Amino acid sequence: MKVAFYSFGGCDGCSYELLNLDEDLLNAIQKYGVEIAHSVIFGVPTESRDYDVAFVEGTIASEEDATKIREIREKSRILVAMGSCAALSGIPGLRRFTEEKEVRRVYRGVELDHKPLKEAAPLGKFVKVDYHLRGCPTSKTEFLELLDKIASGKWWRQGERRFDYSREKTFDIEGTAVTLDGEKCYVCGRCVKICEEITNAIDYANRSVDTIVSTPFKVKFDESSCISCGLCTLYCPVGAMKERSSVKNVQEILEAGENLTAYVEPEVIAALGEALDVEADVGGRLATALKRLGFQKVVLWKPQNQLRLDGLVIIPGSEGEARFVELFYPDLLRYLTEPPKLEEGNAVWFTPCVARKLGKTLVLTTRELTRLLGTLDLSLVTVGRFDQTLLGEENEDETVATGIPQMRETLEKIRRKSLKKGIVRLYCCPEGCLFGGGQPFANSQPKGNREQILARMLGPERN
Amino acid sequence: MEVKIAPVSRVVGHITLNVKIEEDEIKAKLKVLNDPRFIEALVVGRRYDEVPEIVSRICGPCSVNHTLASIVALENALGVKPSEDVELLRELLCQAVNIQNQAVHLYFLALPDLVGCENIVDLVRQYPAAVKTGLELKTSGNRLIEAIAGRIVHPTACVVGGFTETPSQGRIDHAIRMLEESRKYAVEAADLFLGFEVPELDSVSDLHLVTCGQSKYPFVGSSLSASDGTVFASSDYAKSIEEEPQTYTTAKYCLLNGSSFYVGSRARLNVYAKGLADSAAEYVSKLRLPLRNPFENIPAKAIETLHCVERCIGILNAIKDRKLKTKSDVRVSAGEGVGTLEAPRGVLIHDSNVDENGIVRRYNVITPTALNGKHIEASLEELAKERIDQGKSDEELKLGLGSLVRAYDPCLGCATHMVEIAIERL
Repeated sequence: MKVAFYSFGGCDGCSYELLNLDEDLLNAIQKYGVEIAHSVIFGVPTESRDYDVAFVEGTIASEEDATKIREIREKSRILVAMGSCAALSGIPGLRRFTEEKEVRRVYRGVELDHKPLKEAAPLGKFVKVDYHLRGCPTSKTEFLELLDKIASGKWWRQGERRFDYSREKTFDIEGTAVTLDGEKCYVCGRCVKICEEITNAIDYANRSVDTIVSTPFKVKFDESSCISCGLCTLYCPVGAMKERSSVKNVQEILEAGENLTAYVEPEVIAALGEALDVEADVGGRLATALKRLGFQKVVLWKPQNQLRLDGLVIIPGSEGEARFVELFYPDLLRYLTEPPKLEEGNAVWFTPCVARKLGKTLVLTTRELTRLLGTLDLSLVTVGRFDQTLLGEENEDETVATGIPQMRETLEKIRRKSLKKGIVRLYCCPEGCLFGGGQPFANSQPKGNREQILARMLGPERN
Repeated sequence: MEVKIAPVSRVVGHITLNVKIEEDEIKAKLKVLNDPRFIEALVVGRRYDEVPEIVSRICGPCSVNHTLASIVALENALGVKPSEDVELLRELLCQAVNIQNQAVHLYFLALPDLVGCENIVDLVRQYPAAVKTGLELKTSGNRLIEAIAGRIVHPTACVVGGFTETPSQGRIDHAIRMLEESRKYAVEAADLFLGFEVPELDSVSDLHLVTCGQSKYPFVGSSLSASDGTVFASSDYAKSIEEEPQTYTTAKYCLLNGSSFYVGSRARLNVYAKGLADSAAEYVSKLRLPLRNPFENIPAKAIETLHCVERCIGILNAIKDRKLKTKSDVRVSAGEGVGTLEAPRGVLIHDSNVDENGIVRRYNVITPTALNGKHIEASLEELAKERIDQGKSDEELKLGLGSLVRAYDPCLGCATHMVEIAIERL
């Protein structure tokens, strides 16, 4: 095990405390095969290209140190913040409570080579920390325990969390479009991470081994700030976060032999082709496949409202964006139109959007479409044609905002009255519907840009 | 030509060394790269009883000394008179820290240089017996610190007015047993470290500074004495010791009446050799006092360790069956006070100014490494000059310079608690 000890702004008491382990330290070094790859105090000033574990003490208080700690993070498999300073900023961190003039007295306008930052910060402010060793100075016994765990492989990282896996008794969080099955969840935190980019509807709750991922107080998704974008369902590795599926309903209706029309959005075709690795004429093949499943009519459909107005109109891409405006920009509701209308009746809508499920029951995402197709191999069916193509025209004076940051920016502009005219289209998923919450998880980067993909996938249908 | 060692290893903290060698001049620069932490600014506006806890974090290895110096300074400011037992225990504590710190320095930081090991790991592999001796010695010091101060690093029992708890009989007995045991290790250490041949080097300036106190080999005292004969009260330190700021380092180095000087074991031994315990005094005859060579700091540390073990056993036996008074009442009043004592690396000065509500209005700390800084640089220049005259190679020169820095045992955590730069840019 290659171990490094680094020390930043602090008293070096933690390293010193480790020396006070005396023979236990020497025994541990021998027992776990520790190779000290860097430590100034142990007389190993050279640095290695990589470390298994880096123990870092002290606060980050200068630009040089910030660069250095990032470098250490890159090199280390496990980064341990050792002691109160590294974990919480400790005594040096008190500087933020000290009057500015007291600290300024120190410089008197002289530029030091070593530029101190405005405050002494814990490591976590700059890099991801895998484990925090507590105490001022750090706890000797906890250090040995951690070393033991790392060496024996009993220790592992759970997303952002550092504790072993344990779960609260089963709980479910309901929602119209998205649901969470608490029993499946193992608190990896990917959904929390992605939701940070949307509306922070889900977060960690409780402490230590009781930690769960939940909406505030486990309220239903519809009652939280969730806008049902469905990105959490896309990122969940165990299927704990799931969209409410309508595959069964559709199958039942098809089996009953009812007359059904399929409306397919172009983004579905694009993502489907990539997910199933079919390069050409996916649209045509899908049309055939859907007919084979029992759909009477297949329509290529892209919602485009044909509005000609003098003032300002905000068109949400789906019910999700409408909910977003309702929650965060209620003052702009008067500009908001309905999301593109889905007709009730004998129609099934295939869309990349999970939030559309808020509006209508028979809405299937691309992921559900793959389930519906089942074993039907798209590359083997003949290339057919859509019965009808309903693609709206794009207007010239349109503002398109994709992703929450862009949406916020645009809505702020409207609020400040610097945007007064035209059509504003909102799509909440980062990079737009092609990367929507209902799309299959693409392992590779999309080949080419959005327009190219669409052109390639749609083939002759586009024109 | 420029010789650069970055970082200097086996020291507490982060330090680099630049020696610029030109035809007529050699310039050494000791760059401390630990971040300034503004500890003195942090305590301003806080109540007096928070201060020892905070300033303790200046330095982990000698946290006990910082705590005690701060307490003494605050007691002087508030006009609190601690009991004799408390003063005795503080003296004891300083010696215990000395045993522990010197053991670490001798066996883990300095010994690899002397036996030609690259680092501690090699040392453990090649000289397990020596490492064990060092550990035993350190542990005995540690147990005594724990018995009195509660914890080894950042003590919990030391407060303004005395101690929160009187050391229990059992713990004192245990500490005595441990120290009795480690007496033989201390003798072993003295034999070992006086046996090494010390590299030749004549100090540029022989000026040194120590604390004056009640006992024969004092560690806590209320005045300072310099080797040129001047003695001044601790509270007048600012008149003699002048802090000279440097732009290239985050530590401020000091001058005593305009010239560089040194503090630490070598200075203490030079002044108080007559006050040593008998067994330690025997070893002094092997050295020529005063010790003018900075490398002799290492044998001085070994002798001191033995002395401290003896003295600690003596004090502990004397207080063993006595009921100790370890608390005094604290009444808050405005005032100024300075606390000086001997940390393992030398004189430590804490200076406080408290208002009538017990709120700290001004605070200043001068640490041994800051006091030594200029002297280290001067010695490095001297060493470089001598070695170049002898025609030594760069590699040998580097090794020599590194071990010279380590002989002073600089502690950079201490040195960089704060920079106050008074020079003005044009």
